[in-house]
Amino acid sequence: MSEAPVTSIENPPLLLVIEDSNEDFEAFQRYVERSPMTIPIYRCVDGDEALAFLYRTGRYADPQSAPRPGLILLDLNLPGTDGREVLRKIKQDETLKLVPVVVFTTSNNPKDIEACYRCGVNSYIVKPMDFNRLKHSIQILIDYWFDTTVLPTSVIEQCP
Amino acid sequence: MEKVRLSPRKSFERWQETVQGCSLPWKPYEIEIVTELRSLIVGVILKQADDLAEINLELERSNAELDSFAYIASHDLKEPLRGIHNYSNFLMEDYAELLDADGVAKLNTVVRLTQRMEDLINSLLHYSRLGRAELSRQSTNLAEVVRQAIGTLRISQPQSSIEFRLPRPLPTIFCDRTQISELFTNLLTNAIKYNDKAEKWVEIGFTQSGKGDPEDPLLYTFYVRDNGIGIPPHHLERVFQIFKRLHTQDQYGGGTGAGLTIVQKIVERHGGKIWVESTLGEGSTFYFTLAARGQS
Repeated sequence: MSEAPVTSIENPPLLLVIEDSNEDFEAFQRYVERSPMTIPIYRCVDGDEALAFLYRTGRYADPQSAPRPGLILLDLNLPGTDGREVLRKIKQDETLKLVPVVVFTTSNNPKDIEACYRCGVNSYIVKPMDFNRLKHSIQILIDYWFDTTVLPTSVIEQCP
Repeated sequence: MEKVRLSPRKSFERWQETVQGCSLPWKPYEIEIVTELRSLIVGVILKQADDLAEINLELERSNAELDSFAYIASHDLKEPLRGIHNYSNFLMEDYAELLDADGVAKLNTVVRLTQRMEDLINSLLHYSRLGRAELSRQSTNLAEVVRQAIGTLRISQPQSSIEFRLPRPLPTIFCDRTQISELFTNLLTNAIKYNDKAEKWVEIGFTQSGKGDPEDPLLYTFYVRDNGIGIPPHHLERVFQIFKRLHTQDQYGGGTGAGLTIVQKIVERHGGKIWVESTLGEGSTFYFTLAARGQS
């Protein structure tokens, strides 16, 4: 974005997107980039990579390579360790549980919705099929989490 | 010469004895036959138990298959579909000026078809969940359910004037409120949708049978009658088939063709029956039975 207007936040925190589908990620990125804020995005393609990133293990052993995200966007149906398990692990971890998690999934199964909120998910969004509604949902999501709310990034950065 | 005296034999009286609670000892050949009979019966019973166990296993397997089917339908089929939908829209956003009107129209058709495909997948998914979800039975005032369904229909179709006839108040029954509400909504929607008369009407009523005791439970037969287009006799059974439509997508507002299949499933889940009577050009009546107190 060459002509990004002045942002209300100096340095928006990192948005971690855990999404296996390239097409869904591209659609998401496309509309995040239209936001006046420049939001840094890091993408993990499955649950195992996401956990390695969050726990700084394996290829993410160097903390520089895995900064703490301010918000996690999580797909539920992932290859390998799926999103439900990733959510459970995050919300059972004393440090990671501070990071808001937004589930962004195709599943509108009442069981998934209930289980995620029971685990402590901060929002549950069913990916709209309709293109205009998808655009709208992503705009609202970015505005709400990066402009309206205060994310706990400064607290998390100090955690080990 | 000795006199021959004829008299009843005494020996019989001496031999006779009364035996109770005990049979004569079994003869070896009887024991042999009975042993054989026993092993035959045991064999039949064991075979039946085996068959039953196998049927149960089969059922569990098919339930598990349905579960994975619902998953496949919700995620695996929808994901590429959403991709086609989104990328068609990206094409229009980014390259519309390079395309002529015909190109844009064709892209619009692709988008419309992806939406239709999604509707079909959602219907299939809904139907598959309906078959498996536990019924949550509660005391439900059907008069209230139908009043709400009519209210929603009036909001969604404000332009058409429809007369709803309720000859007498509907009863309160023990059923899954959400499902029965969907049942009435689907039937009423169809009654209005497939109706070309200037003065449309729908009548919702019931008859009852049974005394209401455990041997003779109270059973209601409800009906939803309309003065719509009717159904030709040779299509009467087909209307309940999933995705079976009697008209093209351009007629009568389109739709996926799952509405009546869902209605049928709901009635069957509640232990009832559904059937339809119709006169082409004059209207249709859908009948269905529901027990006042369904088995839970």
